[in-house]
Amino acid sequence: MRSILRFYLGDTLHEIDRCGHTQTLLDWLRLKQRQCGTKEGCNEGDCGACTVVVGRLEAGKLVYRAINSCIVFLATLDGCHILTVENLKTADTLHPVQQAMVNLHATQCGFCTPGIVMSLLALWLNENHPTVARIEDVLAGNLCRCTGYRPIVDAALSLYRDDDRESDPVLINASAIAGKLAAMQDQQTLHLSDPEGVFFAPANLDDLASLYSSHPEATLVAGSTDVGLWVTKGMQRLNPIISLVRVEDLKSVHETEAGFTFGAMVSLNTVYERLGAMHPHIRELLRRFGSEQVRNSGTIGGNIANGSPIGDLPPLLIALGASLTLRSGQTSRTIPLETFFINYKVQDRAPSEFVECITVPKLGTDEILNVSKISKRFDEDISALCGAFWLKMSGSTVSAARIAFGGMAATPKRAQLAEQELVGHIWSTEVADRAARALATDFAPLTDLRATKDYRSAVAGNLLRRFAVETLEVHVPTRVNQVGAHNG
Amino acid sequence: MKVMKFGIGQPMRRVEDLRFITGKGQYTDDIQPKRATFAYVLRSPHAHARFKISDTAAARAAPGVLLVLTASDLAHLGTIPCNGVPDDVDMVLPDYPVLARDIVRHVGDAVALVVAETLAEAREAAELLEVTYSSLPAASGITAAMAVGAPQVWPDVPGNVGYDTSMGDAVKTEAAFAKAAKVVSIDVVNNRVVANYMETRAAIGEYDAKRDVFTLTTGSQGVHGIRKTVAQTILKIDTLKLHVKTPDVGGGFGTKGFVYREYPLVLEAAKRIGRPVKWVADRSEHFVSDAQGRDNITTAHMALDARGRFLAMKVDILGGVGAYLSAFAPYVPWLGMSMATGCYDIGSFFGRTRIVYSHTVPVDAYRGAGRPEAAYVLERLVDACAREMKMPPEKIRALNFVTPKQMPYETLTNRTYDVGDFAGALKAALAKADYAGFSKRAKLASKAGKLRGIGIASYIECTAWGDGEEGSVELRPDGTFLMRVGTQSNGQGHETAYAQVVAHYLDVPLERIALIQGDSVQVPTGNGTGGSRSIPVGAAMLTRASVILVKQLKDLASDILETAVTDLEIEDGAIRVAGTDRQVTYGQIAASPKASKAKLKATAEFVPPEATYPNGTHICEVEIDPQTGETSVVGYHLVDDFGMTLNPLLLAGQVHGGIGQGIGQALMENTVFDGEGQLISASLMDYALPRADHLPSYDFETRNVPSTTNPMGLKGAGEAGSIGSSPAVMNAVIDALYRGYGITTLDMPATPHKIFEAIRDAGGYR
Ligand SMILES: Cc1cc2nc3c(=O)[nH]c(=O)nc-3n(C[C@H](O)[C@H](O)[C@H](O)COP(=O)(O)OP(=O)(O)OC[C@H]3O[C@@H](n4cnc5c(N)ncnc54)[C@H](O)[C@@H]3O)c2cc1C
Ligand code: FES
Ligand code: FES
Repeated sequence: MRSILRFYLGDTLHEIDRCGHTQTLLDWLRLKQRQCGTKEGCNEGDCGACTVVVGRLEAGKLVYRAINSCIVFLATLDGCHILTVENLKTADTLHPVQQAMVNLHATQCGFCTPGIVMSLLALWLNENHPTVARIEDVLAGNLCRCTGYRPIVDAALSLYRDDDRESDPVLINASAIAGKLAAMQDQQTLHLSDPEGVFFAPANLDDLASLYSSHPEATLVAGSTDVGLWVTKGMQRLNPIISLVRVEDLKSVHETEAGFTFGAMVSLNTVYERLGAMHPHIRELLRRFGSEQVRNSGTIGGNIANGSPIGDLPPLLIALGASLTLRSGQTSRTIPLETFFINYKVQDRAPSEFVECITVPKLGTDEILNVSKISKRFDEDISALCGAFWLKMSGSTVSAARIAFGGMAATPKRAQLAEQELVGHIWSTEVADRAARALATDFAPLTDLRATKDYRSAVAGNLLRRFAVETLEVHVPTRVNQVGAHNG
Repeated sequence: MKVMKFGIGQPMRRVEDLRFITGKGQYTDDIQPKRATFAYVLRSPHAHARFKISDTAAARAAPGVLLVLTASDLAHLGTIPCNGVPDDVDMVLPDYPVLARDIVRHVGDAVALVVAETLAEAREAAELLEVTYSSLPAASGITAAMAVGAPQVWPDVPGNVGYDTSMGDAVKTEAAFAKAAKVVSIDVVNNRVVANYMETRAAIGEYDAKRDVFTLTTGSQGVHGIRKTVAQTILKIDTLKLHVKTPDVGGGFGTKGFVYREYPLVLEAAKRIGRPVKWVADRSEHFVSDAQGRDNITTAHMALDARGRFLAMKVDILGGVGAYLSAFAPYVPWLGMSMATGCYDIGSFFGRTRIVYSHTVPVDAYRGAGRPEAAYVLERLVDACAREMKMPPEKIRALNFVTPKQMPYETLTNRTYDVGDFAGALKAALAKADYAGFSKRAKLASKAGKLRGIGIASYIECTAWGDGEEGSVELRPDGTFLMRVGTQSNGQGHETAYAQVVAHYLDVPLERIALIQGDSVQVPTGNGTGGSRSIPVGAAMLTRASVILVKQLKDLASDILETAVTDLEIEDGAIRVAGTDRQVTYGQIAASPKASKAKLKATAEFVPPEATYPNGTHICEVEIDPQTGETSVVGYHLVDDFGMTLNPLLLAGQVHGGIGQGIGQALMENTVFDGEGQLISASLMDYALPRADHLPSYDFETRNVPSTTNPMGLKGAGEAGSIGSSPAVMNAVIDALYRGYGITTLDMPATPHKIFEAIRDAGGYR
């Protein structure tokens, strides 16, 4: 066991033996370090004012990503390189991102500005010549109430005009930092405690398994985009905490001809990249999942284990026929994902059992997929409902079907009656209509803040009908922003 | 005068950016006085309830707790005043106590203050307070509050109507309606919005017992007004016993300008415990503790002759004010009524305005305050007239505009527009928007299954009226300059804009001109930011001060250089003898023996004689996906008359930001209370704000006609963007829905759900 937390903030190594076990990075920066450049606008992951860039070794390579510091626990940043807006200016020179923001008048009151600078920094460090749409995506997690955003987008574009990334101070420093981070890596479980509780971060799968077996009451924390809110907004006291963030084995993606196996800790952005390549609807679903920051922190395992009826991945993964591997101690078992969700907040997960990986079959050439997320606004919003449909075709006949919805029941759930209406029939708008009607028996949705039960029922059916239209009458555009309506 | 490098009209980059872009901005929450303690406000979970605090002992005894305040501890304090009662209006002003007494009247109403060593301790102790609520029926919003038998918010305000006033000539108007060829009527709701500046409010109270002086640090829109109210009315102390400071402010938009309860509370608490007390709102608190904006229900009618000329207009405005009267609440809808006829020459006018209490969060001035509401009603009405008369919307506007020849023009609401070329702006905007090519674009869109619509809004608004500014410019010993101004930047970039004025006359780089604002000791007087006044009033004042200072400095230089003043000129940060290289730098002047403090400083005042009247035309183009009801803004063009442009970059910034807020209100922002008065949209997840991909590129240009009431020709530009935009967007949305489905009315926000329902109700889906 190691009881000292170690990370770099800018050029400074911090070694900390006492910190609140659920203290957020934002609180630590602002309250303990009195480095107030990073702002708090909401404390719940919605506004991006708190955005920082975190560098981590991913498979030995240093990768920088933007995250929300308000919902990430400081202790989960062991072995990382943290950059805040205060770390960018060298001597008298602004960082290119900062300079671009000044040149284009991309700040007014300045309150959102540090977070925006950091979001654009991560983009600049990682991507070549992003499109306007991509820049807007990256900024979807940053609110600005003053500028109207255009100058910020223009600032981002201007960076690439004389693309001089080689001389970027962060990148110049990167290999030195990578060396330092590598030197800090060890196989010891990090163990911190404070009067409020205990924090563990095991460094490998076996240690995680045995630790969780001896602390089955512990709260597991992956990206903390759900758990962080329980603490900052829900005022819950969680003790002990076991963070999965250092377990490399949970971060791998294995690809075979048949499909992918994602470790539970694979980030939503990595899922976006890998699964997204399979189908445009998967890309759209993941693009609209939270924000860039949330997708960088949040994990596939967390989204499933959280068991929310409106989690966005389960309907898709169920439709694709994914299976889930759970592990407790040295024992693993694999189940179809849909059976994992038993009831509201009840999952098929024994004490001390954790999600190890998720296996997702690839789409065959005779298979059709269709996914829709319905929310009040296009991005950075929780679904009112989310539907995913998968058909296996033999010629024009449906030979197998999986229809899964989120937001229609207490759990993500398959629509078995609707599926039965499809199988064995020639795929047509009439058949889709029959299936859509069967949904009324499959589900009895509830009314809540996000939608009424009538809206949910009506839209769920329409999504199925749209599926038919989209697959059968290809020329009818049916989706928002599909025909480049944006900013035309 | 020659054009100075850094002077008026130049697109200077901002001086303040260096601070903001590196994280060095200092907002209230970034300041942590030594020995600071932390305050938590316990708020009501009920919209209307009688309550009792039976026990505070447990909270007082909780770890870290230093103080618990409830209403009974504050009997010596005054209540929060309302200063915005329109002239000629007679109304009861209900008490707005610093902490609620016996009855809470909206969700979030402040019930107690707990101060502790840490915020967590304060919050935990607040949970130990034994508060028993017996809930009472609540009137949730205007319509519920106006219903027969509605629960009363105030016993002495029967029917919840705070005032009922009118403007214009009822008889003449009715007569005109009686003989009209056509009468067009609309009902519109101007949805209630939440300011959502990214920096939530915060306040730090300190008390210096030795000097018996309080200090309040808070992100405000002007320190002097807050000082006066908090000192004189609430704490009942001499104004000079309260020092108010405002550091950097993360957005204000009107609603950060008022005195809020937490300000006297932290001061009172600081005095009692002898340590600084800090309070910072979290985002959820912002939704229930800060005044909200808009919230009008209006019926409007236009009488037209057969040619489409506007004969007469009637409006009936219900302005929601929430449970308590915030600072200017009664004034806002009245101000809207006073701008009701907008850019049009209308035969006669009659307006009625009532303010309505309900058990909801108070409402007050929000970016535009009354003028966006007025422009929204009018421009929706004008579009409805165009549809009914089967006239193109641009034609009916042009036909009815007040013309430049009619200037100065007396409106039927007792205003005088001095100048303006409304038709010129409309014409220019139509050209920019390629209005003529719209039908082709609409056809293309419809081929792709989309509905395309285009909307015009021609607006006029009033800015920078009322109080003036007195301030100064001084030369400091090191040769740099210092401006003291009583306005307050909330992000508009006053450090830069004002420095440009001084630089214009003294020809020095902006970095050598500093601004002191937000400090009631260092700047003796001021009236803050609001009503788009800072630049028109502040810059006019600084022009005067700069001219005086130039004269004083030339006098000193004339002595030093032994040359007549008439032979001196200002060039490159120095005063030189024209045509020679003999010169004296500002530093040398400041060091010269005759340079007394008085000679190095010039004080001036500017009091605007009348409001200025910025105006213009916004044209918005949208595309709606009928399958999902989603709207995208695909084009945005506007031509504005701001009289004169001090800095085109800053100006565009103000316009863009304002449009962003207007689009937000039109397409997504909505404050929803349920039937019990619970605020449903109380987080950034549930209250939709525009994000980067919602807002288009704007094509903006000025077509300035200098104001005659402002010495620099300036008209205020801070609010105009939010005034023209929501009607332009909604007119475009309705245009698209009209073309597709004959839909003629839709209230903001035009969310996908609402559009979907409108299309469904119009029989648009099978
Ligand atoms: C601003 C914002 C926007 C969001 N938008 C969306 C959205 O669009 N769609 C959506 O679906 N969700 C959204 N979320 C919710 C959240 O981001 C996702 O659920 C995310 O996938 C959670 O992953 P995580 O790694 O952060 O989980 P954590 O918060 O770390 O954990 C979530 C839960 O899973 C448990 N857990 C985590 N890993 C494991 C494991 N390996 N085995 C067993 N249990 C485990 C935890 O104990 C906890 O109960 C949003 C959240 C925020 C803050
Ligand atoms: S503070 Fe708003 S996202 Fe973190
Ligand atoms: S500059 Fe004020 S919020 Fe972005």
